[in-house]
Amino acid sequence: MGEALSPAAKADSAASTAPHRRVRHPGTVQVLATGIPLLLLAAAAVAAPWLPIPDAGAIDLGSSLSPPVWADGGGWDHVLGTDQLGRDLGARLLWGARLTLLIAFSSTILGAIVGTTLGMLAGYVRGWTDFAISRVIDAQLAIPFLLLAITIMTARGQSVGAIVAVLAIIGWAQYARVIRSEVLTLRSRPFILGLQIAGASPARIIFRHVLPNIADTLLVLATLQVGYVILAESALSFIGLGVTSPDISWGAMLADGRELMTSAWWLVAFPGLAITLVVVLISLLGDGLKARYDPRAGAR
Amino acid sequence: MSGAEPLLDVRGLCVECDDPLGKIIPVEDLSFALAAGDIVGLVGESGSGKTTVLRGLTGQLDANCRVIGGSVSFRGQEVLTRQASHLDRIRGSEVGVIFQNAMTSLNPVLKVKTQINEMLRAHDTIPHDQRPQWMRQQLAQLGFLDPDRVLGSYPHQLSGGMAQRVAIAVATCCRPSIVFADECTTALDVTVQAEVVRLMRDLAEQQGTALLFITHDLALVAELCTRVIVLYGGKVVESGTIDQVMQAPHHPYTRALLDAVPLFAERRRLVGIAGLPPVVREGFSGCRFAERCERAVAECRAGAIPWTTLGPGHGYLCIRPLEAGAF
Repeated sequence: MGEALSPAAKADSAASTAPHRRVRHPGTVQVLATGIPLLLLAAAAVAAPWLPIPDAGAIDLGSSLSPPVWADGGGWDHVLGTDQLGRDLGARLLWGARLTLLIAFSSTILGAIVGTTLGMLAGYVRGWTDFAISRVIDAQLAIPFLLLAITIMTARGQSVGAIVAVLAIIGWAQYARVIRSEVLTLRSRPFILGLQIAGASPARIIFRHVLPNIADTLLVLATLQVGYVILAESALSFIGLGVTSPDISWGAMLADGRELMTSAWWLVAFPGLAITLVVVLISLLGDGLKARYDPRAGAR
Repeated sequence: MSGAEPLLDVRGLCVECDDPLGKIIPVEDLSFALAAGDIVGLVGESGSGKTTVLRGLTGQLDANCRVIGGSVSFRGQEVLTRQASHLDRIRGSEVGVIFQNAMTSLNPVLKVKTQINEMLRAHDTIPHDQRPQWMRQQLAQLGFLDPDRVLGSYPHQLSGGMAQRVAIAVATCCRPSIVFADECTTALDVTVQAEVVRLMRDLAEQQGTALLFITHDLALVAELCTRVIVLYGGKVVESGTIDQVMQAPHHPYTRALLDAVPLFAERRRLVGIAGLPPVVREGFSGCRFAERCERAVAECRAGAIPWTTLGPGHGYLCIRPLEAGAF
């Protein structure tokens, strides 16, 4: 291929320098700006037992319902105020974050694994497998969330494991449905056909070639799902089916504070804010990660 | 065709597809043979069944389609009745496919390196530790100046021509004895097209690869191929060597296709073919081209048209053929 170089061959020296140019990846700032606060929160939640904060369970009726430090009657002893039993709200929020985040992440991951696997299987294999999985998805989506939760909680007892299971069961169908339709369009793409003709095994095609292509969808879905699951867990705890005393979650705190909402606004405002903030941060993190790590993003 | 045993021998291939309105026969009674080093053009307009032929031959028909007749033998061994595992082995190491759009025939989220490696991995032709070296050589042969950079790139970082050459590398890295090229130059501009054509010819001449070149571009076929098969409505309407078919077409459809090729030197009007190819359903009889043919008479629609053989691999499917040399 020595001296007689075609135009196409000449072009590649210029075009292929592109991947090596130093450019700031899109989304880096967003990932850092949302990821760092979330990491700090998670680290603080994990380290809560060793942090110099008031005991979250210590009852002090003398200082019950004291407002946050900046309001009238507030003090530095309890920066975010106290609840009706005089327990420090800040400490409770941090302890609540432990269970809230644990439940949210484990049920999201569990739901994602089950849903994605079934969705890819249905979309790739088609035929009876697809029919069976699709009908189960339809059935799952038709079952009301609360009914399912009540049934499982009464049957299995109220435990963290049961809550995670309920939330995962509610979540998987969503993944399966979206992933299935993504895979349906992917499997007819020529590169998949090429691999099939080359004799690559279905498992290899699914996990090595299909999965990376749906990773961005999966990421966006999962981040939306984390938010949804946090809200669902709060709702469960709010109606008394979720985390129960002495365990703390943000939803349970909301439920505890609702009767005093008019006189002690901080009881619901801070857990509510915490939920909102985390859900928003996770959604933004998902967007940022997609922009940052999707190899196709650079082409747009 | 030389007297040698053909690599691929297709006889009477029939494909049938289910359709809400009844059964469709997209390919009927297709026969051809490919020997080592052959470059055969399979020509037809959109909807004439070219891609279905490819899918039928490689065992990748859609779920609602199936092969209902004929035989496909590879090196003398029947492959249509083989079990899937056997077919996989033959397909993988002996058959490569190059698709129309390079951008969609490469996985957008994997590096070139990974994709070629996947092909090498699918059938252990090259030992693991020699693969990087092998990949570099392959790309260098395809005219890349900096194989390492290309290997480390994602498809979207390549230009269209580069991506098509990478697709050729993926299809041919295992030294297949047969390559099916499905409209693989259609999406490229002419300079890159010329380059790809040159690569294909090298492949056939230097490595003895048999090439089935599926296209609607007769000019390209004339330049690249040794033989041509003209497909219409899923049936072969004419076949022969390039000279036989191009110089003296017998079937009016071939004539019409040739008239639809722009020739600037001759300054003649470009003649199109009115209408679309028919969707052939079960029970169809008569000439498929009759609706669009100006020479058609009542007999053309009446019953099955016999194949007229003029020589080995040379013949046509018409009862009112054009006179040889009647331009």
